Amino acid sequence: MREAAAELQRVANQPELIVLKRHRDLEGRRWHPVVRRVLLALVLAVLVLALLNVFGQRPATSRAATHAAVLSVYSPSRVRGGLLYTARFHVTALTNLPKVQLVLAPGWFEGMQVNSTIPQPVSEGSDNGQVVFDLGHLGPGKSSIVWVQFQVNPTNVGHRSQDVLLTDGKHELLHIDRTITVFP
Amino acid sequence: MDIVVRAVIAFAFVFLLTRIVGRRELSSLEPFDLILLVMMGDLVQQGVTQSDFSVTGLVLAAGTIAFMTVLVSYLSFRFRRLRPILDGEPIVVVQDGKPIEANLKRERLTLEELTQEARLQQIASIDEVEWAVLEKTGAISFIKKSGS
Repeated sequence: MREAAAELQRVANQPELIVLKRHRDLEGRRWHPVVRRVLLALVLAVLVLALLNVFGQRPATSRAATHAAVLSVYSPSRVRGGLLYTARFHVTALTNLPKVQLVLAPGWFEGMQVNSTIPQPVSEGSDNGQVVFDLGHLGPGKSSIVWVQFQVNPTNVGHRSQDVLLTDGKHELLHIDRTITVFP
Repeated sequence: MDIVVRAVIAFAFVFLLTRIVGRRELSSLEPFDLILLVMMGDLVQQGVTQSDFSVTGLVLAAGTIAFMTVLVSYLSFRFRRLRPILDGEPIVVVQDGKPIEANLKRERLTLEELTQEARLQQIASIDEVEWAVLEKTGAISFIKKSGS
């Protein structure tokens, strides 16, 4: 009885707007730390996904080969707005190829800044909306590497096709099917 | 339009972070925390404005952040039920000179930190404290026992 009276006295003395059940005994608030931990886990999950390259920009190699040539493209398939990245196109001729051409899908350039192309192709052109790099003649066993430096336009968000076609003149040799994902 | 969307996302994310990190971490501003704060500001700015150096960009980003701040403040004022979510709630950590261990643990607050805060308010011992409340801001308010 005396304890209850003492408790009542204490309750009466509590600071204004402090409700002991809610602010001391945490009634109705016990689940709050769980929500906080879940949200923290979600943030952590995003960081882990980033380490696993889900948001780019680790490059990967796509490769295709026939009896006539080998083509490999080394470039990230996931990037973020504003990032700089390099795409490397490596063509190896297995037979005599008089007029090697790289035909790049518009997705390589749509919403991207091209900082430089090294070396410059013999000529550049357009084929039905695709960009054509003319690499000239390649003899058997010879290879040609082209590096293209890009910067992602920050407003270029979404997926783009980055297919690469290797031709010898009008004759299609190889095709690599790629897609780039741009995160905001 | 992008810059407004990015500013809203940045505001929401930073707001979420401040709510889940815990109030104690945010209330103490030691040298390391100050550096972190500057770093955070820089990171957020880059994400919001990116390569936009224009005055228009500044107006859009700063205007959006200001609007969002007022909106959160208004929602908290207008809707009582949202207050615990938007502002948090106080927690009693000492009653009648006795620390409430469960509440301290919940806020990752050690007895050493509590006594340090008390000393900063010219209170030599927790025994002298009638009530200590961890406020929404992360500060701890102490109410001394009468006669102490």
